[in-house]
Amino acid sequence: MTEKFYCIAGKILWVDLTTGHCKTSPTMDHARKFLGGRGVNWYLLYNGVKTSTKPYEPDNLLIFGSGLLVGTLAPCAARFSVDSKNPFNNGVGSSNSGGHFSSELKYAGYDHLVIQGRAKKPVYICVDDKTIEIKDASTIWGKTTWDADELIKEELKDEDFQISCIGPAGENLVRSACIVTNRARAAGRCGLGAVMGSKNLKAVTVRGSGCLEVKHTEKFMELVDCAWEKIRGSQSYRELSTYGTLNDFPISNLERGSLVVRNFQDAYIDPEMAEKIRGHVYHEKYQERSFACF
Amino acid sequence: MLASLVAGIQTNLMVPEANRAESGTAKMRLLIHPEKCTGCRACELACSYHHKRLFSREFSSLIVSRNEKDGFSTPSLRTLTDGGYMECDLCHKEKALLCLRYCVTGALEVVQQV
Repeated sequence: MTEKFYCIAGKILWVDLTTGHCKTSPTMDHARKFLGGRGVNWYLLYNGVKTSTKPYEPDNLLIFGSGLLVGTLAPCAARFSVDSKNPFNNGVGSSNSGGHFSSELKYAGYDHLVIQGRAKKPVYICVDDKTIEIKDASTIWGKTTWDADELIKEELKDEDFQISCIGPAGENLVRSACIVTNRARAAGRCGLGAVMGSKNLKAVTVRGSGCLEVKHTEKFMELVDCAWEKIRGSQSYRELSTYGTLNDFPISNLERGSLVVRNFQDAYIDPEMAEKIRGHVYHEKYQERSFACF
Repeated sequence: MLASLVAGIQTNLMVPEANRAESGTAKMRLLIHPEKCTGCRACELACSYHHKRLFSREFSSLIVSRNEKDGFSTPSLRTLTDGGYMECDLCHKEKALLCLRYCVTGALEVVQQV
């Protein structure tokens, strides 16, 4: 009898790039205690990687994880967490990204993707529901994330694949390299793009035709509607949805000193200069249109 | 609550039972404004929830085609040739049209069938 799951897809996918083998394990082994996303990722990392393992060694794990509500109608539930040992200080490195990758991974049947080992040559992982392939990426190695996204979709002949990939920075182990999803969403923290590059892994692409279920559907949707209403009624909703996180710009600059300037070499920018790159300036002068995450 | 959920859309979400699609004789129909679509795909999930009480684009009458390179997305109703699709019934027996309820940009509208 097939076991039924609520909110989760049910499986953790393990891909070993050294041997080319894949396996799955049950998400429920960890979900009750650590829920999902970063929680389960960190548990797997903590138990799966030795203290002595260095970030670029094959034994380091690179783990993608979706959260419990991702793939349902719950608002603001679209992101995935990606975790590994980080190349800055050998400690845990945790980043996250929006886009459509996280939900697609769950629709394919997996809540987490654990990548171990190192491929002999550049590859990308293709997850198409239950079919897992490690494909040759030699023709896209060296390409930018935009070009890689386009070329992979051309090769697979399917625009509905969701792609997380690295560009030349990750390939060359630049410690600030990002993992980019859907061309515009970046898992930018902790240089995990470089960890991905150290595994000769150019991209992970996923397509899923499955579904997710919640147990108490009516109650769940009541809470979903309540959340939607609170978000729509919030003061910052319209500004955030129009200008994105550029909306936070003056506050992060002048009050928190947490603005990212020149790859965190500085945390502040002159207010006169700041006015020229405010959200409304971008919106009026440069924005073509909005493109949403899941 | 329903009105506040769909700020900016003038169309009444509450389609009278008599006007809903039944046996293909709809007096109202879904009108799509692709220029307003941002490709979030909430409408697909809302639709699949209506049909099956599940979340999946496979059970949706709507399908959103996203072109990330050129930056546009287009929702459309599936056709008979798509195979295995669920025909739009304007959310028969629901309290409101769910795709409209969860579309934040006004890309979907219900209009009188001409």
